[in-house]
Amino acid sequence: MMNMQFESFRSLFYMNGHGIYVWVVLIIFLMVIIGLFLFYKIKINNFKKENNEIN
Amino acid sequence: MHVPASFAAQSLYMMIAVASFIFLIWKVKLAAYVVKSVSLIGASVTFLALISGSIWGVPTWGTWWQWDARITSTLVLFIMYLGLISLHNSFNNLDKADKFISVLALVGFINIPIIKMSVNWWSTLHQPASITLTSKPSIDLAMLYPLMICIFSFLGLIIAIVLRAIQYEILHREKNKKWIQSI
Repeated sequence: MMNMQFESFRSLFYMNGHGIYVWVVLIIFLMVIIGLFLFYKIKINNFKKENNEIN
Repeated sequence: MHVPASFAAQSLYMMIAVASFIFLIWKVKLAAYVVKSVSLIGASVTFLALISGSIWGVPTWGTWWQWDARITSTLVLFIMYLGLISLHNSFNNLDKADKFISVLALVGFINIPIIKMSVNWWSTLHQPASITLTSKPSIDLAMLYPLMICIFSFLGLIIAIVLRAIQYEILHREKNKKWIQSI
């Protein structure tokens, strides 16, 4: 059987006082990675739109 | 996440250095586009490595920042990435910009072995490498496997973004060519 590290969601968020550091880092990572994805996606879409308008 | 980000930050710089070399020797335009497009992603990933290390430094070392050899050399890497971006943006002539950032990227490559060896050369906060090619990993298997999964997953994400960035750079730089206009 799988051995769960945390007994409840509360302890998963709290992580013996380390949760704040873990979750803050996770949020920053997600923001930067998703931001980079969207940045290039929007740039490529805008380029294609402009290219279609010119032609 | 800190280790995968640091690994990716150095890997991206190695990619830039190889592309710079190819561009300067064989004048392959695509290599110059790679150098330009990877710089921003490299800077972002190095920022993630620094910020995650800084945040995690509080509960583990009791400090946000320390002029530790590994941290300082990674900060130099971040500044190198910013330097590449600013240098390229400071030129109106893109061909000239490509040449200059390729030279700068090759000069900055000296920092990569320094980052790698910093934990062995100087005895500071970071512990010596836990995973090496020549010896058994010094970290527990319960941590090694998740770490490996994290590193490869993160690299996968970064490669996907790099491909997008190169795609944009090609579209942007070749916009006056017929094949681009027909897309």
